[in-house]
Amino acid sequence: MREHTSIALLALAGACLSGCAYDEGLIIENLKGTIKIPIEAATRTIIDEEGNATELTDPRLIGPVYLGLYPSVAEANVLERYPHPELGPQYQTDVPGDAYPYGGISVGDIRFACLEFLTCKVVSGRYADWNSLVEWFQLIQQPILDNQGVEISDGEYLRQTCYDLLNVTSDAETRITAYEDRNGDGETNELDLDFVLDDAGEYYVGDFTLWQQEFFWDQDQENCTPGLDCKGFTLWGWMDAPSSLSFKYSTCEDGLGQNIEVYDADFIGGRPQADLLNFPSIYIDDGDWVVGNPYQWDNIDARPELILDFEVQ
Amino acid sequence: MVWNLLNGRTILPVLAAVVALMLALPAWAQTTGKLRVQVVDTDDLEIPGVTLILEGETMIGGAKTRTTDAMGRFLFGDLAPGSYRLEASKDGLGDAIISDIKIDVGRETQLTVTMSIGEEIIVTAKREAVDVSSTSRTQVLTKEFLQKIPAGRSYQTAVTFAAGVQEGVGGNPNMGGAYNENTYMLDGINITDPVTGTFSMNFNFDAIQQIEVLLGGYMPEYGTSVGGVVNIVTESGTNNLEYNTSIYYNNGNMRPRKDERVTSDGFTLAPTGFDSEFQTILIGAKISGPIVRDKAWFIISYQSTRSIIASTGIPQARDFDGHYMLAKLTVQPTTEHRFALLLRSDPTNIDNQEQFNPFIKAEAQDRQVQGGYTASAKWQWFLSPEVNLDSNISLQKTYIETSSVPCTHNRDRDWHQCKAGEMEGDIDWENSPRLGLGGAYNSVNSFRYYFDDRIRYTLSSKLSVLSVDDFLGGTHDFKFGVEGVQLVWDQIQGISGNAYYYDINEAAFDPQTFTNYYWLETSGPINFRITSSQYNMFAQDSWKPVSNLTLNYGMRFDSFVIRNDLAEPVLSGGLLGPRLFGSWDPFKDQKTKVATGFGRFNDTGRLGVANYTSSSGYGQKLYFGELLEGQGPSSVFVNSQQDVYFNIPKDNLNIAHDNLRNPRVDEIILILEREVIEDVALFSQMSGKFSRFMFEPDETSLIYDEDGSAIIGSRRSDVINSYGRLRTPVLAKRDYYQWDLGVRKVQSRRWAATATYTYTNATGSSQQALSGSFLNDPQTQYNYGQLNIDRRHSFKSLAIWDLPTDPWTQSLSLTFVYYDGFPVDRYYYSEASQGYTLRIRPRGTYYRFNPYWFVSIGFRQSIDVRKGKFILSLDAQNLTNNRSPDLLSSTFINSQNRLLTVSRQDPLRLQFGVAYEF
Repeated sequence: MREHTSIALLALAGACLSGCAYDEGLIIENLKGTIKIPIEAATRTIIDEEGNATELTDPRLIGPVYLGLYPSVAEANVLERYPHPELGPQYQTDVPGDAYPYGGISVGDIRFACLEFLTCKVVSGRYADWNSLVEWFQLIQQPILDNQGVEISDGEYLRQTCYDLLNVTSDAETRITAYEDRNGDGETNELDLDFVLDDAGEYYVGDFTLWQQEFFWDQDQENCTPGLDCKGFTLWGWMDAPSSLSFKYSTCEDGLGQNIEVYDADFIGGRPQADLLNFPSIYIDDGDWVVGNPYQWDNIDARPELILDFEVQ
Repeated sequence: MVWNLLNGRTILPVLAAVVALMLALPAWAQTTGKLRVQVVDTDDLEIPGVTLILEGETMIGGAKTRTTDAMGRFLFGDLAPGSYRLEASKDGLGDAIISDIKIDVGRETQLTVTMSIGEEIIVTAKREAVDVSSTSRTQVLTKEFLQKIPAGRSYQTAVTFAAGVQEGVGGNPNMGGAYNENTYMLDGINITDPVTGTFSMNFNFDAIQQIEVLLGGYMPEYGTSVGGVVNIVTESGTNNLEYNTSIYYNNGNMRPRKDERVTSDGFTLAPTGFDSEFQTILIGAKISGPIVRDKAWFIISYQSTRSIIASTGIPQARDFDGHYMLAKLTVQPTTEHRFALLLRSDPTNIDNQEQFNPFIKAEAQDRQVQGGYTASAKWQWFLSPEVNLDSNISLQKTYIETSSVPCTHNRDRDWHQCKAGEMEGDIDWENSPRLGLGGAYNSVNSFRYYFDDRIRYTLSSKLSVLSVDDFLGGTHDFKFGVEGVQLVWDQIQGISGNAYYYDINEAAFDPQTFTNYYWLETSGPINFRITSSQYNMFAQDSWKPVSNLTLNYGMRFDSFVIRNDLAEPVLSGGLLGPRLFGSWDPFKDQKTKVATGFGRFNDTGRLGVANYTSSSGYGQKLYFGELLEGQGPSSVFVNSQQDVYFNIPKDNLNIAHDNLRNPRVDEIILILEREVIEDVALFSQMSGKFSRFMFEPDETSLIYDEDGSAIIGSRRSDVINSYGRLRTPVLAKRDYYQWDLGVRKVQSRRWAATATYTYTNATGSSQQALSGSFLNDPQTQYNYGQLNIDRRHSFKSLAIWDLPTDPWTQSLSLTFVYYDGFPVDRYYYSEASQGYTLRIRPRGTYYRFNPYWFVSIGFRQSIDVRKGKFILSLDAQNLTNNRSPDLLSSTFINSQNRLLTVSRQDPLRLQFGVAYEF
C-alpha cells in the first residue's frame, strides 16, 4: 500500500508539473542595446530675424531614431550613398523591392502635441518639460501658435491643452515630456530623456529595447541554435533630422493620423509613415544620420552599441 | 461487501456496460446528496445489524431498507434533495426515529443515531453548520432560500448572494474568475453556451429544487470549468399531486421620471427627454405528482415572462416576451432501474432590442427570436445499494435569429416573412441599405439578417461504487465517468445587396441633403460552422482513512479537438486535471474543519476561439464616391478616388500558432470552519487561482514604434492587411486571490443568516482564459496590471426570519450588498488600430469605480385556505443604495475614458406577487 501510494503521489506530482516546461516554440526575447549619436548630429545653425547666425547643439535636435532588424545590410553605394538594407526582389515594374525587416522599434516617437502648429514637429523623449518645448520653438525662431494664431509662451497652457484634448491627467500619459525618473536621481528632468550626453561630451547616448522580438536566423544554416551558433539578423537604423526650414520630420505624414474635431479645432494630428523600415531610402534625406556599421545579432544575450556615425549628404 | 457483488452474473454486464460507455462518449455533476449514518449505543459503541428505513417525500421508489455494517455504518447514496425520515430498529433496542433530515445536492449529511435498550428515541435532525467532509468552496441555495430572498425571481441574481460570488456581467457572476468562465448545469446537463461561456437558457424559477454554487476546489465529476459551477437541480415531483400558480409584477419606475445621462466623473450630459423604463410580469404554473405511486412521477412547469425595458434616452422600449417550459418524467419500475426524461424549451421574441443607440428609429429596431430546447434521457441502474450506473444522453440547442423589423410578404425571400396582416414597411428591397451614424436611418431600406445555432450532443455515464472498505479500516467512495460531447456552432449573417452606403459627413446627417458617401461592399454573407469533439473521463475517490479525515482526490482526462469552418483542427489535446484535497475534523465533533488542497482545471477552449482562424470572413472593399442621382450602385456613385480604396480579402488572414496549448488554472485552497455556538459557524476560505497560457491573438506582420501605437514597418511588405496569430504565450496569465471571511447561521429556530466579507486581488495580462481580451502584439511591450475582475473588498449579508404567527406563516428577508468598485483600463489613441485601444500601458489603474451598496427586503405572507394556501409577496429590491454608474448600466466611451450611463443607476424595483398552491 505504501509503495502504491508513493507511485500515485509521484504520478500526481508529474501531472501537476506538466506544462511548467512548456515551450511555445518561438524564440521571443526583449533585445536591448545602446544607441550613440555624435553631437554633430544634434548641432545646427539657426538664423534669427535679424540675420544673426547661432550654432546650437541641443538634444532637442535629435529626431526619431528608427531601428530595423534585416536579413543583411549592404555597404554604401552610389545609389543609396549610405549603408542600406538590401532590397528583396522587384516583382512589379517601377515598384522598388522591399527591405523585408524582421522587426524593429523607434527611440522616440513622433507625437501629436495637441496643436495643428506642432503636427509632425514633436518627438517624445526630447523635452524635459512643457516650458522646454515652448522655449525650443522660440529658440529656433518658430514660436508656437495656437489654433487661433496666438503665440503660446506658457508651457502650462500647452500642457492643459493636451490634457483637455486627449482626456488625460498626467504627463506620463501624454509621453511628450520627461515623465519618469529613469536615472533614479530623485528628479525628473533632462537627464531622464531618451538621449543624454556622455562624460566625454562626444555622444548622446540612449538605450533601446526591441520588445518581444521573434528571433530569426540564417535560413541556410541547419541544426543550429539561433542566436547561439547561428548568425541572426542585422540591426541597422537611422535618425530622421528635422527639416531645416519647417522643422518637420520627413518620416511623418501630416495628412494622416488622429482626426481632431472639437469646437475650436479641426485638423489631422499626423503620424509616422507605415513603411519606414520597408523602404527607408524614400524617407532618408540630407542631414539624416545612419548607422555605418550594422550589428549582426548572433547572440540573444548581446547588448550591442550602435553608432549613428554616417551623415547623409 | 461491494466486491462480493462483482462476480458471476453481475460482473459481466457491469464490465460490458463500462466498456460500452468507454467506447461511447459524456456531463456529470451531482444532482443528489448522500446520507452517512452511524449507529451507536449510549456508550458510543458501534451497533452492527441495525435495520434502517429511510423515506423521503422526494425519493421515488418507496422507502429504502438497509442494514448497518459491522462498524454500525451505512451510506445512503443518490438521494434527491429534500427532507427525509430515518427509522432505526434492532431487536432488544428501542427504535430511533429521526425526522427532518436535510439532504442537499452535492453534500454528504452525517447523522449519528444513538439507540438504547428499551427506550424509543424520536428526534428532529438539525442541519449541520459545518460540512466536515466537503473540500470545495461551495454553498447550496435551497428552495426555501430561493423562494424567500428578494432576488427578482432570477436564479442568476440568487447565485450572487452565495458567499464569495461577485457581481459579473449580464447576469453572469464572477465566481473565482471571469464572468464567462463558469459552467452551468441543469439536472446534470451542461447548459453553458459553448460559444460565449455564459448561461444559455431560462426556465420557471419555481421549478428549481436547489442550486449548488461551487467556486473552487471541486472534484473532476463537475467538468472542465476553469471558473465556478452553478449546478441547478429541478424538482421531480412527489407522491402528492401539487399545483402552483403565480403572478409577479416587478416595476422599476418608482423614481422621478427624468433620468439624466451622466458620466462617471460627474459630468452631466443634456437630458434626453426619454426616461429609462423597467417593468416585468411573470405568470407561472407548475403541476407535479404521481402517475403511479412510488413508480412514476411527473412535473410540468411553465412561465411567461414579459418585460418592457428601455435604456435612458431610447424612446422605444425593448419588448421581451419569453415562454419557459420544463417537463420531467421520472419512472422507477423496479428497485434496480430508474429512468428520467427531461424536456425544456424557452422560445422568446424580442422587439426593439437595439437599446444602445437613440438615433435608430423605432420602426427600424431589430426583431430577435431566440431560445432553445433541451431533451435528456437518463437511466440509473442500481446494481446494489452501493453500486449504481448512471447513463445520460442529451441534446441541447440554442438559437438566435435577428432581422430588421420591416418584413416582407414576398415569399421568394427566405427571411423575415411578414405575419398575416402585418404591414410590409417602407423597404427598397432592390437596393442596398444606407447607414448614417450608428445606423440612424436604416429604416429607409436597411436589411440585415443573422441566424445563429448552437448545439450540444452529450452521451455520458458514471459508475458510483460507495462504501468500499480497505484493509486499513477506512472506506472509499469511488466514481468513474466517461463522456462524449459534440458541439456545433452554425451562423449565417449578411446584408441585402451585400453593400452598405455610409454618409461621410455623419455628424451633420440629414437624409434630405445626402451628398457624399463611402460605399462598403462585402463579399457576401458570413456562413460558418465550427465544431468540437470531446471525449472525457474521470476517476475520483472520497477516502475516509479514519472517521475524522476525508481525502478527496481524483483525475480528470479531457481529450478534445476544435475545428474551424474549414474543418481544420485548431486546438486539440489530451489534458490531465489532477485534484487532491483533504478535510480534517481535528476534534471529531463535526464542528471544525480544516481543508486544503490543490487542483488543476483545464480549459478545452470555446468554439469562438476556433472561429478566430475561420475563413468565412467578411471580405470588404471600400469605395469613395459622390451621390449624384438615380438609384443603384452603378448610377449613384462616381468614384472620386480611383476604384477600391482598400480591399480586405474574404479569406481570413489569421492563423493559429503551431504549438498552441490549453490554458489551465491551478488552484490552491485553505478552508477553516468552526461552529462557535449552536448552528452558528465562522468560516475562512482562501483561494489562489493561477491561470497560465491564456489565449491571446497577436499581430504578426506589423512593426510598431516605441509607443506601440503607430506602425513603422511590416514584416510582410504589406502594411494594409493584418495577419493575426492565435497564441498561448507564457506571458498571458492571470493571478487571482480570494479570501472569504464570514459567519453562517443555518436554518433553525425559524431564522437563518450569513454575512461574508470578501477580498480579491486580480492581476495579470489577460482578463479571461477563453478569449483574447488583450492584443499581445510582438514587438510591443507586454501589458500587465490590475484586471477588471479585481473587486478588492465586498461584503454581503442576508437574513431570513419566519415570524411565529401560526397558523399563518410570515417571513421577512433582508439583504445588504457592498462592493468597493473595480478598475477600468485606460484607453489611448492608437494609430495602428485607428481608434482607442489597450496596447503597451499598464492596465487597470486609470479609474476605479466608487464603492456602491444596496439593500433589499422581502416579505411573504402565507394564508391557508381550505385546499392549499395563498402566498402573497412583496419585494423591494434596491430599497436604498448609492450605486454609482458602472459597467452594468453604462457604456464606456474609450475615446473619453469615461462612462455614459444608459440606464437608471439605482432603480428601486417593487415586486408584487400572488401564488396559490396545493
